[in-house]
Amino acid sequence: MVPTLFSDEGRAAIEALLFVASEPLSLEVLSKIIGLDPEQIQELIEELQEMYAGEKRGIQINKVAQGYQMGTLPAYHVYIERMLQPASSKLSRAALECLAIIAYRQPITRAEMEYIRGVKVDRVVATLLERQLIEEAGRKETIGRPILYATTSEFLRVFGLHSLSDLPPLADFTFPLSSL
Amino acid sequence: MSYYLKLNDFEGPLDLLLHLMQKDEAELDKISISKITDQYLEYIVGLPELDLDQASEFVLLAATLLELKARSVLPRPVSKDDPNAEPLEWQTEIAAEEDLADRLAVYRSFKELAENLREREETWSKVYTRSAMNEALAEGFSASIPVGSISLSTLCNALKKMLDNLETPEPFLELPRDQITVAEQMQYILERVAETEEQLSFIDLFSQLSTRAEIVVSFLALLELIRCQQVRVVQHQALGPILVESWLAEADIHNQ
Repeated sequence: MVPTLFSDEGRAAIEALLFVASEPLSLEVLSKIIGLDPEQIQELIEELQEMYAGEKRGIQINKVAQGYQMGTLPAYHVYIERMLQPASSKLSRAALECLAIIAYRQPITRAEMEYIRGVKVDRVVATLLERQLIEEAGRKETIGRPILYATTSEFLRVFGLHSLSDLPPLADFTFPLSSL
Repeated sequence: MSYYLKLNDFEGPLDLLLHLMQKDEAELDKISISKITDQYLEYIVGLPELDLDQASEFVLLAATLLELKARSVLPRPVSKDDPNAEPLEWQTEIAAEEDLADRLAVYRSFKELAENLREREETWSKVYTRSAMNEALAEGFSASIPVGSISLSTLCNALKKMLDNLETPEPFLELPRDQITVAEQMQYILERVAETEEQLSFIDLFSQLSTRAEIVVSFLALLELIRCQQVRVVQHQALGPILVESWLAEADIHNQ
């Protein structure tokens, strides 16, 4: 690849934008701001990623939620936690099961989730909504017009996914009936 | 049997069934309904206490299993016309067994997927971004504002919805606008709360307002009133309407 004349400049501009942004930036957005093609932006980001990887850095650029976002390296989480003291709020097993069901079967109603899990999901759905990991996505056109739920871009961000297709295929987890 | 764990350890009756079958090394396509029903019931009955809330789903599955078991021990009527045709009762029984096997298989897939998500969450929770910083800042505020039974994020989400739902787009021209003050809106909110006999919902309060400025100023007024302990916000059930009421409301109820 022949480096473009604006290579250094563009790359630095991208770095500055990613540093300041409070959510992942897509190639389109970066392209509009900087004035380069999305493909060029992507190449420059990859150059940045390579540069970071080659140096002993504390940050990296992650491809999440259909955009790019700077994040700290997991190896240094201890230091961040000393500074931020974030409320450790891991999701319960029930919440993760529900989230898995919604992620693969979206859009899906509460009743459909309850059938799969075998228990009520009200409390879990409330938690997931509050954390903005799921959202209401219209209503199903059946009796009662129940609400449909789907995952959000926050879900992608929290689980480090670029898009839903980054989830492992369901087939990998479907066991034939004869095995347990 | 010494393996009685509490019901809490299972995420529901299907989880318990899977556990029992695993202990038994049973295969999903060869479920012995009779055996699994016995084990399940023995387990449920053997528990020292049964919390009705938790138990309802477990009891429902017990009933389902019992029905399946009952069908399986009844003599199966043979069809008079074609000795090779499956009797109707038998067909539904097989369908029910297969349905159970299917449900367990599906449930198990999602249990595994949940584990997969757990691992991802574990890894990615150690990655901090500027989003994380904003959230951490918000967490820092919530402790100091007493908003009653609602978390700050719930309130903020409600505000965000109000702002998003504004129908009229922001005018591009700078029109001379009335200056709305926080004090005025505080007065407005207090009046609305006083005159509403039933409960005043957050949505009612805000739906009358038409510009972004009005909404934001009113929200600030609401927070100020909460801080001065003139009103409170409550939410009686998850995802239920957020209600705004006079701070003294509960005291009044106690006095009656």
